[in-house]
Amino acid sequence: MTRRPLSMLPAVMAAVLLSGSAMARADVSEQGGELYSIEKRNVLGNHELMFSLGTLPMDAFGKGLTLQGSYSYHFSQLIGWEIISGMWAFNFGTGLKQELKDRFDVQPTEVGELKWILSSNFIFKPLYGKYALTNDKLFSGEIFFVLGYCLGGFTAAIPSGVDVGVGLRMFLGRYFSVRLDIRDYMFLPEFKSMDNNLYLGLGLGLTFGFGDEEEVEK
Amino acid sequence: MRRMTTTPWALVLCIVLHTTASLAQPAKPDDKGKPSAVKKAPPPGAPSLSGPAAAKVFAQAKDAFGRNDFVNTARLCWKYMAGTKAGAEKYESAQFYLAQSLEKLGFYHGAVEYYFQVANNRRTPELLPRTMKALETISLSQPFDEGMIIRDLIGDTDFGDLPDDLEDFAYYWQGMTNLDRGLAAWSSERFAKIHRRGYYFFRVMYTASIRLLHPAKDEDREEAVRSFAELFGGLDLGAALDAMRRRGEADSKLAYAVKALINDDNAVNIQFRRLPKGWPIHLALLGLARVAAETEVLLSRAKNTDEEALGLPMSYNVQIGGMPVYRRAIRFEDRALAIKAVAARMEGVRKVHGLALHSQARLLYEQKQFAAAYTILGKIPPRTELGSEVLLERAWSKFKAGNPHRAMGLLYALDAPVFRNLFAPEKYILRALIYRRFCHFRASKLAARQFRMVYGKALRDIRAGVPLVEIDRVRESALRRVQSRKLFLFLRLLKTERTKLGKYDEDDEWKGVGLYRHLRRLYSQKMKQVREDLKRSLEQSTAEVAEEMLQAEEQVNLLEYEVGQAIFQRVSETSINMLRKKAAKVPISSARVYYRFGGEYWTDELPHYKFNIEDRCVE
Amino acid sequence: MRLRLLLLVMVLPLGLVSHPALAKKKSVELEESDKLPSVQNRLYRTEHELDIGVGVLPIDPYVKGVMFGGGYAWHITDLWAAEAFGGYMRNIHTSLRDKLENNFGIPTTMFAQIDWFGGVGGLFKPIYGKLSFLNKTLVYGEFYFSLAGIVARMVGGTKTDDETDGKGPRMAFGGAPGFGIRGYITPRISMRIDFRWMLLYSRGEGHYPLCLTLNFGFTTRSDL
Repeated sequence: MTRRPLSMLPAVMAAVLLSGSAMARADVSEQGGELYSIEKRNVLGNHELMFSLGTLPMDAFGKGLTLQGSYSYHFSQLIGWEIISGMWAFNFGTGLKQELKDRFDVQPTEVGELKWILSSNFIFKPLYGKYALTNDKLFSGEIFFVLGYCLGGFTAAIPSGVDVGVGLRMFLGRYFSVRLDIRDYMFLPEFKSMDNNLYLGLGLGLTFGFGDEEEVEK
Repeated sequence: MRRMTTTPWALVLCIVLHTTASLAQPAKPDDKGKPSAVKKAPPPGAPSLSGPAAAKVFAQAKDAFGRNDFVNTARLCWKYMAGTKAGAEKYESAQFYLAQSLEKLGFYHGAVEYYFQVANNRRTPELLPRTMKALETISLSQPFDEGMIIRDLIGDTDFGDLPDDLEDFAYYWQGMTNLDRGLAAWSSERFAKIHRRGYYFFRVMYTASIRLLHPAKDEDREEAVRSFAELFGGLDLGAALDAMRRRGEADSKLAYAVKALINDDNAVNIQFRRLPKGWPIHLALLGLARVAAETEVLLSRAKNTDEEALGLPMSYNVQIGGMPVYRRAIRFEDRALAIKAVAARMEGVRKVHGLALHSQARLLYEQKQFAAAYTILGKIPPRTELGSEVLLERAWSKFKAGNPHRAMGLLYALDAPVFRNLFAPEKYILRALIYRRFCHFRASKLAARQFRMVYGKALRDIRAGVPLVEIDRVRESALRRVQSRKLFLFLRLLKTERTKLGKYDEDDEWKGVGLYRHLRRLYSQKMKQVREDLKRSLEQSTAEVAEEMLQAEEQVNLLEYEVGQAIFQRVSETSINMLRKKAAKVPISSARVYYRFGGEYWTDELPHYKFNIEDRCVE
Repeated sequence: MRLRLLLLVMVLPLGLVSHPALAKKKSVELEESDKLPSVQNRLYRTEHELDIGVGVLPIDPYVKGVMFGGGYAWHITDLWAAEAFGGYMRNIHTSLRDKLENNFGIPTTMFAQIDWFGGVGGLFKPIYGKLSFLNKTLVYGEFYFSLAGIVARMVGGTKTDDETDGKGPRMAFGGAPGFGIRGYITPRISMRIDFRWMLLYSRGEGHYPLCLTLNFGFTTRSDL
């Protein structure tokens, strides 16, 4: 049977990608231990208030511009609870209705708008790190994940749902941080269908209630 | 096992004194014993300028300077100088503006040469303060020709009336020049004239503290104590003594030492011709602690020099190794002057702050106060002292204080690219020691082997009699020694500026009047001279390095032997309990962030490394 | 067969240049008293990069585009790169379009969609960093801005006097500013998420689709 070149391709690629990994690397774990850099991090206080501007961009007929506020309690630097988060959406037509009328002489039926959302979420913050801007200035941030229950205030109904999301926080000192949130609010009207609503928001967080700070060994 | 721990510290203190003296490099005089002067070669065929024509050229030069056209200014000034004689009306002014233009264009050495001419000749007195100011600014920010400026110009010249801060500049360097020549009384007399505020006061306070430890002769010792007491001041000494009495420390050596310097009215009154043994070091620590404390407060206040901010209360707390000594409030009428004096030379004061902390830490280490030494080393601001030295000393301090995990982390930081040329054989010795303590015998031997890998070739060359300056690793290490390093950095500056001069090669503006050729020759001559000085300096530095390398090799040999023995010996109860702190587990959530090392060095992380070593020593 | 050979030929040179002996290492001479960079020896670096991936054009109310494509980037320095990319679209009609076509008889040529596109541009990569995951392991990444000139083949669109049933096949030209995030999975494999806002112009009409892509990048260089 003739050898088919494509079947060799994965093996070739593996060889290519692994061949260079023999490059010298300081593997201190071989020397009986692990080397860490241990630094003081930007800590969040127990309490956080957040205000943000956002958008619900997925609806073809109307985009929502949102104002959101939330209060979270951070049990530790790893987990927290966004006890209550509420947003109000100001909906703006995209012009699609008018376009349908003008181009196709078609008038769509009225569809319900999403007016508000309330949610309560578990926060998981496993990633904290730092970034260098043009290899000069340093700033720190964390990535967190949220999962929780949400309630959607549509014109015609108030379905429950689940929301899941990811966020990026950049610290601006001890008390303030900037947050970028991306969430998917999945409403389940009468548990018969799923209505996805993507949310993007940029906000400012204020944290307080630091308590006794752990002494960092120098 | 013989440690290198105490040897480098004593040497280092001597080096610190040399740093402050800063005149160990003899500049090679020319044949007539005078400092090399700028030889002005008139451009071939250049016509002489008549009076009105010369005045016109000078006016054009000033006009160009006013428009920030420094290239043209330099050209016109040179044209004026080449077309007139040294005694011409605006000759010195032309030299001054040429120097200013060169400085603005980044040719610092070229500028220094012409500032020297103006300050040395002083035919136009109104230019002197600006010239001295410019020289001082360059001296604080760039490597420069210390022999020409410090020894030949400032060291031996009476400048008459200068503004206060420039007077201090002159007095300080005159004092240092006299100190280097062994003229203790003359140097004290100069130092005493310095105003009790600002950068030069803190430099001289630092020098006076170190001087207590290393006087050359007996009479110098007495002079050193007197100078220290006068500079420290009766008020501060009195405040220190009162504070110690209140705390019940009137019987301490420091209290006795301070009491020996003042009378009951807190006026300086030296009561001993010679201080008892052990007292000078306490006074030196006190002096360094005061410099560190006062500069710390002033540096933070100098960030805001609004009238309102200047009037706010201000005090400094003098502590030695974390133990409070005294607190002194600065009087209202002195605050503004003190803050403004520091604000005028922030970077210089910052460096003195770092230097004082570093020296204080070294003395505390000598006194076996390892934890205190470590803490103070951690306070040294970045880019004031050599980071590699600070890291290595922190590693030793932490090791001696009983935290080998932290010490090991700091040693790994010394493998960062910025420390590639670092000469620190004790890095491997300390690493091997720590591994041995945790019974990682293979890793211990590996550290010893790494030493041989790094220095093996150099050691073989040393034994084979290869000239030390030709052995790369010895030479690179010697270049980092204080005096050689200064010359090396100055040479680097000259090379950079001469390369930059090449940009003007195509520029007819400078070529046409001969300025380009003159500057090129100036830089070449200076580079030749500095290379000679560096070569002489390296002869001494390389010998020191070679000696240390051979000593280190002996230590490594001994260490390897001991490791070999240790494999077969039972580990005793005492050695398990001694000097071994258990490595903390890495928590998944903490007020600290743990970045696991993967081979990439981040500059801000270097002081924060910790190596969690598994303890393999079992009964 | 020929496509498979072509792929093989494209991949094999990566193997040659990825050999440690040939990988370019930039040694940086640092002096302690100079201002030091934040990262002294950056380990996750790319030189030549080949990408393959998928993407979506999610904003259009009539059609959602699913993109299959890839590209090549030459990372000139740690800060700048030049790239060329392209994608082939598989367009999925939305329910709105289906209703318009089926219930109201609107011709399919009345709806503009992209068949394929390509672009050439540059990347500015100012942010590089790392995140500690549960204090145990590190995740490295970078953030960059992109700007490219693009060309696309489009079909369909608003009717005109000459094309009463909607526009026919044509080329569209324009630019695409954007940004992206890269996460390093291994020293030689990274994952890129790119957001590009395509600004296309064709026959008097502008089209502004948003393109989100997820690519896997294979690079020849790593300093590890």
